Amino acid sequence: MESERRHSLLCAWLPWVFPGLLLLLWVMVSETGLVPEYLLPSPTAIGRAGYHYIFGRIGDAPYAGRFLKDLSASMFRVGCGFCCAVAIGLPLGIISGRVTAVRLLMGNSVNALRAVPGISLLPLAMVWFGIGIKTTVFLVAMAAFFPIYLNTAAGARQVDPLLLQAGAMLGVGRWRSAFGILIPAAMSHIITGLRLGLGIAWAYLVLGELSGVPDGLGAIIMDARMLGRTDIIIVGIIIIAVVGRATDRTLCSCLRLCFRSAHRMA
Amino acid sequence: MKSQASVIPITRSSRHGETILEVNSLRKVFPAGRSFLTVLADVSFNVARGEFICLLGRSGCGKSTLLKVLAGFIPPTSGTVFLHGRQVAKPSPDRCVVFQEDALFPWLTVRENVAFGLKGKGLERRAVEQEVDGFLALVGLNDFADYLPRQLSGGMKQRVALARVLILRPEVLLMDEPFASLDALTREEMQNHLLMLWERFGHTVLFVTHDVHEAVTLADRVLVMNRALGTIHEELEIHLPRQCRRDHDEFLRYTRRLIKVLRECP
Repeated sequence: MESERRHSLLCAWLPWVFPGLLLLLWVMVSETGLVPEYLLPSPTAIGRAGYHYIFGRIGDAPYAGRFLKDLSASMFRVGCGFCCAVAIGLPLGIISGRVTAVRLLMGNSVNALRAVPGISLLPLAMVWFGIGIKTTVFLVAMAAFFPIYLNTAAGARQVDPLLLQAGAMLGVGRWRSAFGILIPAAMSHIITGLRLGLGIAWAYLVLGELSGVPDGLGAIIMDARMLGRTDIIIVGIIIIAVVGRATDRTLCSCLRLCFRSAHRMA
Repeated sequence: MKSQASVIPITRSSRHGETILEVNSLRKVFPAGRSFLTVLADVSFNVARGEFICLLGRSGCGKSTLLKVLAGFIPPTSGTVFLHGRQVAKPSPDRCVVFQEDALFPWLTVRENVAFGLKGKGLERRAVEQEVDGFLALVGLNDFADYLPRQLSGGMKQRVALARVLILRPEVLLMDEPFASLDALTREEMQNHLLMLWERFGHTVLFVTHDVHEAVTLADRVLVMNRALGTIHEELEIHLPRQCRRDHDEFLRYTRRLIKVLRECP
């Protein structure tokens, strides 16, 4: 009993050790004046800037009251891009994991495209789609596609043929075999792909918003750099980290809620 | 308990009835590098309804390949298999397989695994539940209905695998060394259990094994396979009473005979 309690306590606290240490180090650095304020503002300054940004009313301070608009704009872009990547990457991954011809067909193109850094696609996307939501969604979708596609394909490929044979012998048709056996059996790989995809989607969101859109979490970071507001840059970074982690948790919970296989095997 | 058991209609085994399964000059060749590997050269035999056949042979003699062809998992190079006068081409619930590894769906509970083959057949939910409960009682796993396969022992998993296929009332039960990975005591229990179920349902069984004692314990007829030639080397009928076969004086004579045959054929 006692050891179990200690174990659950440990599980609850352990993830906060590094953030805590980092904060402590930061406080020490800014208190001693080792790093000047314009390079790394103190945590209290960041807290104040963050408070104004999130809870302040428009006009109170620069950037005040923009938070909800920025957050919803960014969430919408990430959501659209991620959904596009899932809609294409998931079915394509499953097919290429099971059909050798499709895998060979896709092999060169996917792996060559994967080697292209996203930043080199930015100018092209701006030429194609102009400045705005389309460019960001395109970049996010491009980036999220690869982990989703590759992990799904690997998962589908590694499914134990015995399970599919067992399904066939139990009289299961093609569709039920795909949705009732193949996808649940590949679920842990699919979850990994989706989580990696969502993570990279946030990374590319900032890149997409650097192109000069007026709102969004990436946009205020860029804007703050122009105005030399290091505190707002850091606030933006922290918000993206927190929101990114929150969406990751939400994704996992949704998958666990919707799929028995995600719930029982992960 | 009684009401559950009465759901299952009892079909008495009418052993040595008409021929149900006809295997005609079956040949299976696998490509091996630049040459070919002939696993089955010319295999022919008939099986009567309700008969218990053991396919005995050293490892690598093609007995599992033969079973896979009969199940419809792989096509023969030439030759035909007829069940009830209809040629066998694809896996189907009338020829169910119990694999050496359990091949249960790890994301489904015991109950859901057993019900898997009944889903999508337009049966009422209540009827399916009753049927599943009846078969779980039959294999003695009522108390484990909501467990996941990974929480069960090897013997229990194989009992789930048995229930999962017996619920479909297959004409022929194909078993590929199902008890090979169990400890000696559990194996004996499972053999007794299998015989009990066989007497009750009267399905035809083809049981692959490399264990001479197992073959003599279970079979009406033992087919010994020849590894070098890829044929059936000898056929031996076991004329022993089903009760307490292992303790019978003649048991040893049969096993010696089979061991001798196995030594003779390379």
